[in-house]
Amino acid sequence: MKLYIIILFLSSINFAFGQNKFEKESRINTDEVPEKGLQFISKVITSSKVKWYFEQGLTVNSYEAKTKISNRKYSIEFDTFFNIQDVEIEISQSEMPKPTISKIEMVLDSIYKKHAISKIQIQYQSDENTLIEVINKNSIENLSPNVKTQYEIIVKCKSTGRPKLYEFTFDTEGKLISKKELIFNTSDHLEY
Amino acid sequence: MGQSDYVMGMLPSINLNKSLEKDWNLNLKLESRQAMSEGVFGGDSYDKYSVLLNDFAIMTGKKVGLNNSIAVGFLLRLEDNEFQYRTTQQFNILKKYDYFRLAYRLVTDQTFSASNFPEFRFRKRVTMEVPFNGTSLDPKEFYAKINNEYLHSIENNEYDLEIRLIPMIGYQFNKSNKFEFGIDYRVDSFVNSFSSHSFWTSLNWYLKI
Repeated sequence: MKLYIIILFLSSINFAFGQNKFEKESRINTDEVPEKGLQFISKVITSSKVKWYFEQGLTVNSYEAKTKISNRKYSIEFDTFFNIQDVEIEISQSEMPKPTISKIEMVLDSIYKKHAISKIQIQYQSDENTLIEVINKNSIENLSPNVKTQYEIIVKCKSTGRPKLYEFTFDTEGKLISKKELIFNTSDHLEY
Repeated sequence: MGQSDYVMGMLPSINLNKSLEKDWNLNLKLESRQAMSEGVFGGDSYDKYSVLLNDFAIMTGKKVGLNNSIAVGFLLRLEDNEFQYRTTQQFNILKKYDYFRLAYRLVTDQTFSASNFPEFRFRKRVTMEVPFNGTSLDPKEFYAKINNEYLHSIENNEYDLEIRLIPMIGYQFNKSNKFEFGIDYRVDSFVNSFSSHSFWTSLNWYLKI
């Protein structure tokens, strides 16, 4: 029974975490964005400059609005019908709750010899009105309980061989949800 | 005040790149330098096509860190019916920012030939790549690339400095095929004598095999 549980655990890790991240991101003009997307943005951003992108993933396409509000970097993601999907805010390690970052560090310690966090985004998923409140509040604390919160963390990791870059997703308890290796573009034309 | 001379022409190249196991890679480069016009600024000039030199270079590199790689190589140059031989060692650092990439390259090389003194060079290059659409370079996308390089050389106890500035426009057809077009401007000899300027129409084709 114990062996069966270990095998099940290992195979689930391979299924959930053994992925690479491929994305094609193209800039689009504001006049290409449908009214629905612009209306959402107008409710939360009045003066800041917004850059719009179309993202093609392996299975799912999406739109993303990137902006800065009070020196914080925001990414607001929509599906292809411009329904809001999530809001991501770039934060520093010191802004994360101590128990969460400690748990995340423990998870990373258990997998890698060395690791260094290079970017943290807090991700909020909820209904449209709640996400509008989240953005207008411009704070990462004291959110309503119906907001699903996760952390997307870019980490430079090394176990054997050369270091690699991964995107991890953790929940607020520091539990690992997913892991994807970030694949770099070719750079022959920059090296030779 | 002395005069400065110039040469203008073409600099087509083909780069063949092959990824190998364990983060190794191989680069083969064929390049031809062809003059179209030569002269002195404010003086005489004449138009004449001539092939100045042809290069065949092979390099092998390895990724040694997340953003770092090293490479060594050998270049065979045919110039004035004589072969020159160059050994090369290089170190690259590649950094990705939100909307562009920066590559730093440090190179040492040593050139030998039958009729010239050995030449030893130290080169520092920074390259910026800016995709025209989005935050990273994707297939079927144009990009701007600009190189700025400083080449310090010693030959027969004489020091010289060459500076290169190469703005280019590139197009990535797919992950294995890129083409670049631009102007390769070089100035040298201004440390010890009158300066020499060269302007090459640079055409680079990068293929991954």
